[in-house]
Amino acid sequence: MIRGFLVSTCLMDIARPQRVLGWGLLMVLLFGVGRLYLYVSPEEPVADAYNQLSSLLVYRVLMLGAAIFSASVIAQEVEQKTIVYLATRPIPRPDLILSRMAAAMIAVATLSLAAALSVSFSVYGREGLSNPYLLRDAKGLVVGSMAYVSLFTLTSLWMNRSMLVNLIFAFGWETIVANLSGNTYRLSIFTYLKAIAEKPTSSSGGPLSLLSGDRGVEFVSVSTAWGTMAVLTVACCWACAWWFQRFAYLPREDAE
Amino acid sequence: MIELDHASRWYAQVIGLNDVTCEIGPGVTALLGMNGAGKTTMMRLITGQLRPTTGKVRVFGMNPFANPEVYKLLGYCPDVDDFYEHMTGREFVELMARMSGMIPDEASSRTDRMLQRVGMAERADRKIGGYSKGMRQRIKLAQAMIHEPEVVLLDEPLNGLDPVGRREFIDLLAGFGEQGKIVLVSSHILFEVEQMTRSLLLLHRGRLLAVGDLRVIRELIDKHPHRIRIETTEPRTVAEKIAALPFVLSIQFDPSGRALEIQTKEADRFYSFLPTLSLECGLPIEGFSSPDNSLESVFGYLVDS
Repeated sequence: MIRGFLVSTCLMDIARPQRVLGWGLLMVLLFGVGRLYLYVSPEEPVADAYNQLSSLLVYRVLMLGAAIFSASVIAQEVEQKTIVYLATRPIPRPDLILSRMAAAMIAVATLSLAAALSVSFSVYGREGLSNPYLLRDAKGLVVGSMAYVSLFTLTSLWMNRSMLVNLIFAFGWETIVANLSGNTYRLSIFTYLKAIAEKPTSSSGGPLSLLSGDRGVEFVSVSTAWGTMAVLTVACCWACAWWFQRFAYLPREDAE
Repeated sequence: MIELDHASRWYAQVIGLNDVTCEIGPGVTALLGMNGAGKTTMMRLITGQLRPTTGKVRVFGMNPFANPEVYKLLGYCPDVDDFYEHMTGREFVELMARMSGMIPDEASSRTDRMLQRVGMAERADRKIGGYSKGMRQRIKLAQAMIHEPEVVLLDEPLNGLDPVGRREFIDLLAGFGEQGKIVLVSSHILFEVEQMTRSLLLLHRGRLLAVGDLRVIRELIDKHPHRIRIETTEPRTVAEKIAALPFVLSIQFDPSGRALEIQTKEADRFYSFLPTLSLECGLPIEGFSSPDNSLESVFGYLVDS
């Protein structure tokens, strides 16, 4: 019962009206960017346009949301010094952190699915829901939410001001590594998410394909991608629970 | 029962608590010490937010670190003044009640009762962000007591309270103590502590300097020559009158020319002489204070002895 309560409380905090409004504006912006993209490249098939925009924008929203919401699991409580109230309640610490992580995962998945819908409607118009790639992306986004939130929460337990590190990972590492030759691409979560979403390689080339991580020539199989993401998520969740149970988390004295 | 057995806590090269051994039983106990003495570290060890670097801490025989069984029996009012500012006081206390394992109806009714008890019932539906310091202290106390714990730890709870609030707070704590609960209150103000309890733990630079009755501390203060500072526009005339008194040991003039400091072994006799000095001799005494009542002096005496 307490786990359900913790998840719902954390979700309600994430979904405060001001925050929802901010994310809503981002969805409108994504829709506008989608329309603009179609305007500047009218010859490109809509399926290719959607996939390009999805890799370029939707998966970035996923990473951005994961970096922000994973901070709300514990790091934000430490920063705003309210961790003291959570840490002295009769709740097993693993339950506390895993419930809050679950809430963050739900929030990130919801946000990134909304982003996918926004881009889909901007590209396909009223046929947005019948976009054949939407369901595939949904799989990738849900798995991505779990993987990124668990990884980013772990880094937030290890270091202060982890959001910066997580954002560098999301927008630097994930962009660069997915394009590298050899086996380095396997070190990027985005590689596995693309495999799970069965994303076709961009045919357009150019800097946009670089940003969407389509320059790499090697691919992982779908089954390898599912397995790797499952192992990563479970390992990170276990590590978060162990770490939070083992170490002290106090209000940050220098935080204002 | 709270037990500390040679408990020490280091923060890298800095020692927060140094080899403290003590037992804290039912009733109100004050944890007295200057800022940086280790009061909050001791509170955090007892509330299981920190592990001791060496030694042991036990609450009812259990290791408190991240232990939900201990948290069922323990309420903590922290020194930090931070909340979920967007919540109302009622929402916050109810959230803490739910997190203590209560079902919604029980949490709601207990929240109402507790808000009434801490004098926040009328103001509980306002956002915490708009609360005064005193209101925030009351809400902190409410969240600490919401699950009716056996042990209540309050870290500097009187900070920011007005005199009426202080009195109410002290009466509330006395009530908890009379119910047989273990109440540990930290403070750095001797006068404040004297109003709450006679049982105390005195911390200084991480060490437990004294344990026991506050009267012992008071006697120690009285045993030493007592310094009294008198503020007056005519220090030389006042000094002339005072110098004739047999229980005055020394007189020192303040460089400002508006005060003098005397030393006496019989502070009570001197205090009873002061009205005479002012009324019968007509000397303009604007104020007096005793620097020896400060905690620093007490620590000085204890270290010397």
